[in-house]
Amino acid sequence: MEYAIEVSKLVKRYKELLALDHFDMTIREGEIFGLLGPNGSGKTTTINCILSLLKYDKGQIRVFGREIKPSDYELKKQIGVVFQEVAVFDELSVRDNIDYFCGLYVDDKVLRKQYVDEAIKFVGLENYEKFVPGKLSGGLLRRLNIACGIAHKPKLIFFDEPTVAVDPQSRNNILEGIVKLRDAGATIVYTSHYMEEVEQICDRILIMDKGKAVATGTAEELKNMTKNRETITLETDALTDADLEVMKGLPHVYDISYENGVLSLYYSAGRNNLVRVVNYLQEKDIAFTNVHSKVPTLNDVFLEITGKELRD
Amino acid sequence: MLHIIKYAIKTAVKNRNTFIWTFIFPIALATFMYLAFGNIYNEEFVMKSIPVAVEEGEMQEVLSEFLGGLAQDNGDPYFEVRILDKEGAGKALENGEVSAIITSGAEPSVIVGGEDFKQEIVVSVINSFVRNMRKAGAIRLMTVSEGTDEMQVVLMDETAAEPEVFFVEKSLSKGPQNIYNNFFYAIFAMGCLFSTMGAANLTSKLMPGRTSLSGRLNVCGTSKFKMVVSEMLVYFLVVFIAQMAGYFYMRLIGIELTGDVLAVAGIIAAGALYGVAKGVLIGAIPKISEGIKVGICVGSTMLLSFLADLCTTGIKAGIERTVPIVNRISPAALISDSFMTIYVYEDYGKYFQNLLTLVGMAVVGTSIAIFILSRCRAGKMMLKT
Repeated sequence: MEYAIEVSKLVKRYKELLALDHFDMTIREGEIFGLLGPNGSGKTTTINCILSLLKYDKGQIRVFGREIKPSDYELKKQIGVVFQEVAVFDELSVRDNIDYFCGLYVDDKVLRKQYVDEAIKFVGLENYEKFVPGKLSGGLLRRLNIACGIAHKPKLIFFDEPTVAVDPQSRNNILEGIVKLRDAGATIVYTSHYMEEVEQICDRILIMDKGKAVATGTAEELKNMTKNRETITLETDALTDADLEVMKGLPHVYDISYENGVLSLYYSAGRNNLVRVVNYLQEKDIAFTNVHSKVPTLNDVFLEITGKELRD
Repeated sequence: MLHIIKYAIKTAVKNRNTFIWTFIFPIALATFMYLAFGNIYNEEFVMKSIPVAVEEGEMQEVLSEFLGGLAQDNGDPYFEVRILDKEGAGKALENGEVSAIITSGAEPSVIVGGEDFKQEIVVSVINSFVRNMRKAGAIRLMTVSEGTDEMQVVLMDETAAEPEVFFVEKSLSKGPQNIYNNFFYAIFAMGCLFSTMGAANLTSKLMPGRTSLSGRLNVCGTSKFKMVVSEMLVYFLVVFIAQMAGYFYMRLIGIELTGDVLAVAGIIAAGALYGVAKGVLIGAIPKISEGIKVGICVGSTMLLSFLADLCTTGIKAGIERTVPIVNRISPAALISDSFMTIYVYEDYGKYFQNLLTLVGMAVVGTSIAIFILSRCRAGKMMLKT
């Protein structure tokens, strides 16, 4: 298997704070790899160490099989970065910004023009080419930020929380664009604390907390790490202790609670769990309302592993 | 590299704050100084003859001839002499038609109606005349007592007619030696040195960990050498053009900075290169904040200007007596001295020595900055994590 990035036993300290604690990570070529963790978990520190922007105390980082150094410009030419904060020149127009950053990687003028045109089309800024960043809305600015990071067609692209403070429409455009880049052959490293986004686009996910990798795998693999596979809740006032005993005996139910007229059933596996509950209540002619079936999210995974919410 | 230069020029031109202030600084400062010392350059002041009245009396012819014979460089007389009777002279002074009345007694004296510079000049000239007259009288008395009549005649002839010339004053300069020009040289020196701040700011965007933009520039596939040199070159051009614009503006308003434009351009180019290189070096110092860097830029510029007499006078001479090496490497001193070499001494050997020193220091500073920048990784990111 070809790895785009291999991080081994990485340690980074900010004085007393241990930002990365013997952190390990491998990213395969051609995948969208999600780095998920709460604020301050070490996601951006990891990226900055990989990009050789930040010194680290211990460990090893290899990008496309090579140890990256600040002066390794050939290796850097294969990398694109889209930072959380917009990184463009306020004085230059949309086209000039993209052309400037693309020109730092691509010398051939004809090829560069083609790349810039493609990048503008990719992020949908055709009608804003002559605008300066100050005249763009937040969403359009984010798109420009992305275009500047990907115009030179890098093999490895880092997206550091690119959808923070972005409207839903622009967010969808960005996420679709990232999938297209992966489909075109690029390896994507995507950091976010929005678990829905990560779950939506990432092939594999690494959950970080306190500078450590706490779990790695596909979204399904991570969810399988939790005991709970489904939670059904409904409201009813007419349940007896006998009813609760029967329900506790339904297939895959490992726990049950009934408080203030709200029944919660916790399942460790199974399909058609909801149908069984509804059938039972109909048989007993018990009235009920507000029925919900909830499957576990990555937040539940995080909660179960670390004992706290992702957005704490 | 041309690609970076092209966009650095676009960015510099569109960055109005930097661009405008770089251009305004020398022009505004020159204007203020011109307003302060403007009279020195005012032709009306230099050229216009001072009207004086000589009272009728025994010395009227001698005084009239003496005062009328004092001519300026351009041939115009210093004084416009009118011979009037006592009453007429008094009225002329009262009416402001003359600046002073010179009495024509055995020993002339001056009556003035005020204390302006014209009257001071008249008093000074007449005092000098009276002193010389007394000396001549003393020598005559001495020679008469020794019975050497021949000598007396010679001296009398010399006093009355054209004096014999023993010394010839010869200017070592083609150009003006106005002491106020030093203040205008200082504008160029300070303009070049203050470019350190802009250059330090420019380097900051290449320091990893400062901003997201610096992060993006640090992971790009272009070497730091190309980026630093390109950005430096453009900023150097902006400073150079701004200083030259200031130079031509100064000439336009009448400041005596005429002469070899190429030599002036050489000084400004070397000074601007030094200033920009110093800023790049300060900007490249790792592990210190932007505020401290600005402080270093401003503090060092003010100190160097002070040591080179750009803020006051006398310090540079003191340094020359005690630690002359400081004047040999102080950029402010080198820049202002270079102007002196072309305008006062015409010493082109010294001129080129000064310029080479400035360029040499710029090259060393830039090399160190590139070395630091190309190996620099931040210890702490300023970026959000």
